[in-house]
This record gives sequence, C-alpha cells and structure tokens, in this order.
Amino acid sequence: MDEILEITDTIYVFKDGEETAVFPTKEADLDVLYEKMVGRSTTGEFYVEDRQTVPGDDVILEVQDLSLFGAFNHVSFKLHKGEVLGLAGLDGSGNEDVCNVLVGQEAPTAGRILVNGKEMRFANAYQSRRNGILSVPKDRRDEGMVGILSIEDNINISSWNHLKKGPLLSRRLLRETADKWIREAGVKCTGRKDRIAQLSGGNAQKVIFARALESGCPVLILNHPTRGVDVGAKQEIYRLVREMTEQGHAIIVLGDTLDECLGLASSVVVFKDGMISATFDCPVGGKPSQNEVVHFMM
Amino acid sequence: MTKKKFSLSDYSQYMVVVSIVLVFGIFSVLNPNFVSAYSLQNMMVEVSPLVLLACGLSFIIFTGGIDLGSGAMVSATCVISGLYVTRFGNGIIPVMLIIGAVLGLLNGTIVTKLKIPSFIVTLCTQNLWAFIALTLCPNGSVAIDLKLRKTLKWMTAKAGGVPVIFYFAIAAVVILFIFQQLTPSGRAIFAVGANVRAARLAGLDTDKAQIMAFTVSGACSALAGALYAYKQLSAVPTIGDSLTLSAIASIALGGTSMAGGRGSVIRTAIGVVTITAITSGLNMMGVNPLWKDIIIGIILIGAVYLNSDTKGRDIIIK
Repeated sequence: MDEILEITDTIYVFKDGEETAVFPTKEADLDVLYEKMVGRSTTGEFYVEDRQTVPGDDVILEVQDLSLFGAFNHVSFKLHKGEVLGLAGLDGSGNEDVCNVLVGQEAPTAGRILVNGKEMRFANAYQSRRNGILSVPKDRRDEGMVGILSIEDNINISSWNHLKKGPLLSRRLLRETADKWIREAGVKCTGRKDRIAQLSGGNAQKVIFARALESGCPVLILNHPTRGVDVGAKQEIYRLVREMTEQGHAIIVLGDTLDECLGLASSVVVFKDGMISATFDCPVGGKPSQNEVVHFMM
Repeated sequence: MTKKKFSLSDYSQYMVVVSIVLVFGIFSVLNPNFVSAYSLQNMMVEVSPLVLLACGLSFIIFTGGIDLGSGAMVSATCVISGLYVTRFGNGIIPVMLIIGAVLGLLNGTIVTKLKIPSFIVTLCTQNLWAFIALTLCPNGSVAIDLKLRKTLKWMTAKAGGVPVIFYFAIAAVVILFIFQQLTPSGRAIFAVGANVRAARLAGLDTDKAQIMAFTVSGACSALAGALYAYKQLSAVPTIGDSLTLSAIASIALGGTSMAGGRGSVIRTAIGVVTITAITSGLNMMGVNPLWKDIIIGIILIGAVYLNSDTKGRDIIIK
C-alpha cells in the first residue's frame, strides 16, 4: 500500500469488479483508500448472526509454530468446538496455504498439527478426513464437484464407509441420506439422480456442504464458500454454516470478502506476508470494523 | 429457453442394445442358421472368457486409465494354467485368480506410486507377460495331457443346455456388478475417473481405488486365461494377441467413456456378445479372418466417437 502512495500519480480503486473511486494521489491517504476498498458493511442479519454460537472450551484443532517454506512462517492458533475461525488476508498472504497443509495437500516444513491433543501428519486428504478434517475447496468446478456423477454420489462420497449394511453399501441408506440433504440444504433439482454439473453454482455448493456435513468430520475448512454464488444461495449457505456450529462442528473459513469473513467468524486471525499480524475476537455485536482489520492485512 | 442441442453422446448408453439387435438381425437374415441352438451354444463358450477379460478391464477404464497388456496377460495365464493344471487339477482356478491379482497389483502400484500414466506402464509390462507366455511355451501351443482331459471337460459340458463356462461368466458379471454398485471401492473407482482431484479432496483414497481397479482387472484376466486353457485344452502362448482390441471395443460399445467416470460391466458384457456375434457371423459367411481386427477396429473408433462428449469446442485431444 505504501508503495502505491509513493509511486503513483492517480489511484483507481476497484471493489467487487467495479470502480469505486478515482483520486489524484496527493489527495489520498490510507484511511480513505481502505474505506473505498472494503465499502459499506452489510447487516448482521445477512450473516444470520443471531445464530452465531459462542465457542466452547474444548480445543479440537491446534496448530503450533507451523511453517511451509516460501508460504508462511510460525503460524499458531487454536480452534474450539463450535467456533468459526476466520483466516483473513490478501491473496498470497499464506492463509490458503495453511488450509492446504491442514488437508494434507502439502507437507509442512516445520511445526505441529494437533487434533484433539494428538499430533498428526497428513500425507493426503484421505488421511486428514479419517482424522476429522474435511474441506469445501475453493475451486468448486475442479476441486469440489465430481461433475459427471449424480447429486447422490456427490453427497455421499465422503461417507461411504458409514453408509454400509454389512460389507455392502445400503441402497436405502444412500437414497435416504441424499434425499435428506437435498431437502435440508434446499438444493433445487429434479431428483437425486441429476448430475451435479447441471446445477447452478449455489445449488452445487449446497451439495458440497451437504457432503461435508454428512462426513461427520468435526473440523470443516470452508475455502471461499460463496465464490460465484448468487445472493439468495449465499444466505442459505450462511444458514448452513450456523447449522454446522450448532451441531458442534468447528469451522475454519476463508471469506470471499472481508465482510463475509468478519460476519461469519467468531474470531479472526489476520495474515500478512505469511505471518499472523493480528487476532480479533468477533462476538455478536462486538465485531471489529473492516477498516480496523484491513490495516493489518496490508 | 432454447432447446437443448441434440447430441448422440447423450444416448450412447443405449447404443449397445441397438447394436446387438442390429447385429443379430442382419446375420440371421444373411444366414438362417445364425441363431440355431447349436451356434448359440458355441457362442456362449466363445463369449465367456472374453466377458471376464472385458468386464475386469472395464474397471481400469472407469478410472480413466487403460491396460494395453490385458491380452498378453491372458496369454501368460493361459500358458501357466495349461502347463500347471497337471499339478493342481481344478485347483488351478483359484491359483490363477491369485496370480492375476498380484500381476494387476504390480501394474496398479507402479501407476499410482510412481505416478506414471497407465498406458505407458502397461505398454511396458505387457512385454513381461508375453515373455512369460513365450518362454514357458517356446514352440507354440502345448496340448494338455490326454489323461487329464476328463477332469477338465466339465467346463465346456452343458448343464440345462447351457455350457458351464457360461455360468462362470454370468456369476462373474453379477459379482463385478455388485462390486461396481455397492462397495465403497467400486464407487470410488468411478469418482476417480470422473474427477480425480475432487475425489481426492473429498477424502477418498484415490491410490487405493486405482490399485483396486488394476487388481480386479488382473484377477479377471487371469481367470479368462484359465478359461481359455480349459476351452482349448491346451496352453496357447498367442491366444491373447488380439484380445485387448476386442475387449476395449466391447467396453466402448457398452457406452463406457474412455475418459472414465461412467459405464457399467453389464453393458460391457452385452458389448462382448455383440462383438463375438460379429466375428462368428463373419466366420460363418466365410469372410477372410484377416478382416476381423480391421472391422473391430472400425467399430471401436465409431463407438468411442459416439461415447465421447464432442459438443464442446475446447476439447483437448492428447
């Protein structure tokens, strides 16, 4: 940011794909820029804040001094039962790399991951799921949806091992689970045999949320859960997030916007250049303003 | 809303039913004896080992991979069964299942652990299977000892007008269908073929699913090899030479996408019947057998064309 103020003559500010302001650099200062960049906050109602849970005392996941060479350094935080922990930060600040490490996509170069107090190392996402961590990936089309399979398969894919009756999968359980989630998550479709690729972004994302909930994993990582989703579906997804915490899941969220991150989270860890630069508590009614947080991001 | 553009690939799963009716129709018009009881029984014997081979291979193709060496594996296992049946008697069948599973496991482990495309791995390992077949039988086919033939004849004998070997094939298809539909491993094989990255991030053990596909396919190929030995009553080191082509053509005819993720062993089995009907129909008409593989090749290209999603413009052909 300082660089921009130093080098430029004119500053164009973009937010959500639209130009929000033009200044000659002489007239600009950091505070004005931040305000134009993050914009007005939405109401707590939008994020279903009345259902935000107060985190319990049990630490489900703890990260100690975790480092991934070239991505982030000495990252430590605790995730409690019923907590929504927001990882805020710009692209490349290291928050996404932390998630990749937590689901076994990358091996940390230093530090420890403790699940329920036990130190773990994950070689792949299969191992992290078996130990209770599952993610809703950022790139829905390539990493979330198994496109040509049915909604039913996409919901049950992480749970096949507990939808069995004896050694075989139970068709009845598969069917009932799929129908239950289509109803509860409000997926708009003609039936559970529809291909997930035919659904709109928001409906496909609800299916992936249903998968995460059905998996029974206590720790869920939501990486940009509302990317490319229309406003109506966004709110239903927020409602699902609240449902997750009410059921005792612990959630790590990387918001699509800072507003979303603060709105959903009960505490926020801010990343800057691969390090944690600040930590905020975000109880209902006492959430930090975006301007406060943005200072620690840039 | 604009009407969805008509595309043949949406209907590719019905292709196998259409083609089997067409093939039987045409050949019975050309040759009234084509659907006689005698020739149907013959065809059942002919079809059974290929059904096993093709249904096993289907699982590798469901993952989006391929096994170019499955025919050679049939040769190797046919030779091993033919030569060692004197020692094991009918116990050779479970022995071959285990050997095949181990050979498949080897393929699968190389593919997943060394992360090498399956067509490269199987292009290489098929030479090993061919080597086994040709070193054990350097001078061509070896007939199984006459004294032993009595203990092997039950396989081609008929029970209720249907050859026993055909019951074997049916049982295998039923077991494989249950595996495909109702086991976590079977479902995972499809998920891997449909989108391996998403399947991995959903917490599936994708390596295990791929290895499982190769192992099942290996076991099926080996059983097919054993059945050929029973059928021919000899160890034939070249039996599998053109079987890879026939098997892949049957799978494609069954509407299975070569890109992976969809298909069914039942449709593969019907595809095998169609392909076999074509070859035996051509035989009965006295067509030069050299034409056989060319015709199967044309069918394969046509079937793959119909199966693949050719609507988009950004299709990448590797």
